[in-house]
Amino acid sequence: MFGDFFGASTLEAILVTLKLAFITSGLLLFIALPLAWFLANWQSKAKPLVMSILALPLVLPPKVLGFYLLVAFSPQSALGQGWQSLTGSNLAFSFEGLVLGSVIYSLPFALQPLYSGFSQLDNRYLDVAKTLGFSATEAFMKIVLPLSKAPIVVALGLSFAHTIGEFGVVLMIGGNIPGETQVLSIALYEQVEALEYDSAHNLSIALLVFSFLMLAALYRFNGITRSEEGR
Amino acid sequence: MRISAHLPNRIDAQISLQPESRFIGVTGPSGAGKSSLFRALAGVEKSAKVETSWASQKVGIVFQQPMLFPHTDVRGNLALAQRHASPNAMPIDACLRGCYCEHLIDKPIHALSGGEAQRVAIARALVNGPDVLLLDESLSAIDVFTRRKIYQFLKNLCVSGQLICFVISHDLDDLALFSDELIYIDRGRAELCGPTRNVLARVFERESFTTPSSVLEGETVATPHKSDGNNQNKNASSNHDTNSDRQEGQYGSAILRQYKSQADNGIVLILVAGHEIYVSEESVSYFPQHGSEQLSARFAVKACDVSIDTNIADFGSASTISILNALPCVISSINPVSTTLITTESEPQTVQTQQGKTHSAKVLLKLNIINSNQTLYASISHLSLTRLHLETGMQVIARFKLP
Repeated sequence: MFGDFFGASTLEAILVTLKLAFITSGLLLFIALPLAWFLANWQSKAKPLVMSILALPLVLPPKVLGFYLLVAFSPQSALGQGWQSLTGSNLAFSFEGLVLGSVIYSLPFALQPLYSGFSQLDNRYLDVAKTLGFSATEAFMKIVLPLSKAPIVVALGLSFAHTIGEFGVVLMIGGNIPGETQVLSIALYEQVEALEYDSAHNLSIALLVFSFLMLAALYRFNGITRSEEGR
Repeated sequence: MRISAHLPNRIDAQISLQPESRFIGVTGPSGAGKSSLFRALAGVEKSAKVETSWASQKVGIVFQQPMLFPHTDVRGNLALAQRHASPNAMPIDACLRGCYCEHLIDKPIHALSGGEAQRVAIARALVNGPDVLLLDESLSAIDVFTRRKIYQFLKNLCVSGQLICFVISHDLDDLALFSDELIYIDRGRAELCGPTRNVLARVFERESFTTPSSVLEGETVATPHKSDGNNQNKNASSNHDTNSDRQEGQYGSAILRQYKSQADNGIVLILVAGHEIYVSEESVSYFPQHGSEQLSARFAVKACDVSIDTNIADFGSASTISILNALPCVISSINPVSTTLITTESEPQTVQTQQGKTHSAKVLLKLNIINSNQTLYASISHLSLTRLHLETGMQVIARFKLP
């Protein structure tokens, strides 16, 4: 059914995109949770500097980021060389390279909701947990994480949706290899270039509906958790 | 018991308490550093330097905002507190019963009222089994009847040696009723510290209270009718009582029985210097007497509720007035009540503000109760003072309504 609607090559692009989005948002959660918690509790003069660096992908043109990543992934660079000696394959124009690029590109989308969620958390919950005998890690797992359900879901949703719609960076570092690095947005770009407006329409409407449903679900979830907590 | 707490720019307190004091009241103006002191004592202020005699013991704290974890219900909150409970911690149901929140166990946190949440927060702290419990205005949203019962429950735990309680409150009557000693904090320092009655008197002086309260102590009186009720209660619910006995110690259960026996009309009878004094049930706190099985009772009398009668011959037969209580006293001092007045004088082009002390229409009498070392305050009008020719050293009868 989906094959008829989108065409086989588009379907392949959809699968690559979904795989990329799932892996990226999953990885991001693992990276962003401790990072956001650290940042929310960190007080230093260097903090604005670090925060700006981490937020750069929000404002930097994706092509600029993609270009620097491409340079970093090249076999001549330390990162590319290290990867090659480790895995025997090239990091640039590979799915793994795409994942790494997406993680960096979408990091602020996972980090910001978590950071503001953690910053707004009343520290006295942790004071109480401490006097009740909880270690810092236990308090984080048993108190902070359950209390931060909403920011965690928002971070997951935003980084997932952002990865789905990414174009500039993947074009730079992923190239356009069908089944390997060709993602939705690039497939759509190709269809428009080739004047295949029917399939471009199908894909666009599917993306539009998906994005809408994703945001609606996020807003709905936020509403539910807010009323549950009586805020 | 010595406590020293230092928090840069906020607290520098040296506190010295009697070793037998277990329920300690803390008061002082807003912003004086009471909460910071408690945070330092609880170990949640990183920059605080604290030295206490209980350094290795478990310290619990309950804030004015109950800070119940909203992602779970009351039961879940108690379960979290039980994870690291000390081996001698009280069982959950005993904590809930003592804090009058058994019926709230399955409620979600957002469905609790302010007072209910405060009760659950205290129960949660107790479930963890602390050796020292710090209550930072933790009962401020609870109605006076329930509040006093919870204080009494905590007091019983203190008396039976299970707990040391430090309580911050602005309600001096509450502190007067239950505290062994009182600490007055101002500008980050423990300005006053010592036996409740002494500190209270100094606090009233310091803050120029026009109607201070006096704290009186006496023995409970068991009437024949009431001891019948006592036995019935004991037989009817022996199972429940045995549990309570174990959890609240021997004094706790004696106090519990006291409650039950006197609950008939809401009035308890207390012997002060050999005179029977009627006090409403919720205004009394009980504690054991040293070397005796008899319970002592404590209550507070507001100075504005005390009237002076010069007809000392009619002590016991004042049957024409509704005032129930009478105590023979000697006037030890007569103090004019001064109030700080700010007057503003307007002139055509300048506005001058003058601050000065002026005497109010009332005077404060300090009365020594005969055959006792206790003091009673009476606030009466200047007119009465001159009309009755009252002077220091004169014997009078202090009459006051049911506290």
